Amino acid sequence: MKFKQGLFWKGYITVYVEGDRPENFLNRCIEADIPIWDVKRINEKKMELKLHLKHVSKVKKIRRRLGYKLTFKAKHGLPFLLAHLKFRKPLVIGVALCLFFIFLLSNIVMQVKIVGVTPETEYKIQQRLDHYGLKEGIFKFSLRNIDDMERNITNELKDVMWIGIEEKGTTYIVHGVEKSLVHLDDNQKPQHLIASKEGEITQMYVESGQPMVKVNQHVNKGDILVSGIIGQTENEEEDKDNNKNENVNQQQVHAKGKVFAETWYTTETIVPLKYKHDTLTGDKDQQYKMKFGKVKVPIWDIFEPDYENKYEEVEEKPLYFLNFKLPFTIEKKTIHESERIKGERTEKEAVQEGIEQAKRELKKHIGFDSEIIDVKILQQSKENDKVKLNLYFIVKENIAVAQPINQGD
Amino acid sequence: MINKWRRQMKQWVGKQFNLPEDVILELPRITMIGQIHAYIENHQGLITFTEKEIVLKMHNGFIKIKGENFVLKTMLKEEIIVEGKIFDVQYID
Repeated sequence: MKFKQGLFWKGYITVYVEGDRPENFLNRCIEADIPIWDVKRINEKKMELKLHLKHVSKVKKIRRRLGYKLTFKAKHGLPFLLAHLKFRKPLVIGVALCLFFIFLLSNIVMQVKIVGVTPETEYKIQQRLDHYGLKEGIFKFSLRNIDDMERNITNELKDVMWIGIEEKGTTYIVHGVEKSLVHLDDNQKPQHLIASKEGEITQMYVESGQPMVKVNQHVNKGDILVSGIIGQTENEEEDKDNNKNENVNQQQVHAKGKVFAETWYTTETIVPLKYKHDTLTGDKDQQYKMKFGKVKVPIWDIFEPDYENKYEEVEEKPLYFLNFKLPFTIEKKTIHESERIKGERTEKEAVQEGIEQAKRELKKHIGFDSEIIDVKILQQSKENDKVKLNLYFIVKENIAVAQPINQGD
Repeated sequence: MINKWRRQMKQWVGKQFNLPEDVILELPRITMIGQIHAYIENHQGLITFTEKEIVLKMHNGFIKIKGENFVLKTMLKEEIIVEGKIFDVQYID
């Protein structure tokens, strides 16, 4: 009974047929291939029957030919509902607008809460979030990757140890954990400063404590540079002055200061003579697409940019209606123009490049107040279009590190 | 001409493959579910339809179904479903 499927969508009507021998009318309908159902005899000259909306015009033609009287009793189905709605346009528009606004507001960031940090850090985090585009009033799908944001902010803010961004509907809750400031206790604890590396001392700035070494002195790793025990040297004088108590002059302090020394590093770098690498030119194009299952509908920027080389980034963001995830997603595609750089270097240039590389690498490892004083090439060889360098760096850096004095009790 | 040829073809195929007679000879096929439903195929038109009686035209003759509370559930070309309470089915030449 295929014709009875999808009745609601197609729409159907109930009619009365009046006239002599209504059966005749039915036969005509059958001949015209019009499906009819639920036929009831009301009385001698009247029948009730149901038929599809799409056949009404055909039925009217038959009626005209045979002279029956047709009365519409009831209309069922979606087409009639829609027709009815036409007379209530304000209502329909209102409902549509309402749904549209709910949809819009469900996809907007309403609130960004920062919890777990002091107001000062909160302000800093706020600024970083603004920079990365997480602020109130923007569309959720235009946000960047949240994981990246967490990581970047954690790296950028020194006094924040960890940041977690939690998405709760239209609210984003940013949890922050601050690095606890250096314990006041630690500042008071007696400590030595010892050498973290082998080197030759060039400069010393001692705030407190007893210097144990002199400028130009060679120290080994682990040597005490600044002692936290002051009054030690006076022990020798003790013999001369027996009245003095041994312990009176012995005091343990928190040794503080910077000891700069020349230290040495050897590194090995290999630089190819021919090189090839991709860089981004900075030109980019953003495309937005609405995605439903596998079907994609472009919304913004339909045209592909004419880049010769490109690098594509695709991000997918779900859309929400209230708290429900819709089956639609917004796909954001960023196309960067890339450039392939090819080139050759002479051996001389390669050496220069190798030194620069090694310097950059080294700077990552040494402290920010260190400086590279000199570079020497120990060994230089060329094989398979590659230059191999053994470099020797002389670096001036702070080698003092704290070592607590074990008080024993 | 083509129709005639086709009918002959049908008969021959029917015989060869042992097909049911209603298909070949255009006889009505009436399927009844207890007293409540009658499913009539191969009819040639509706003659009478009231709450208590249905008369259908057949290839040669008529079928009269008697009962009460009849409703035509479906009316299509060559297919009628009657619902109600059926007492009697008669063939009239």
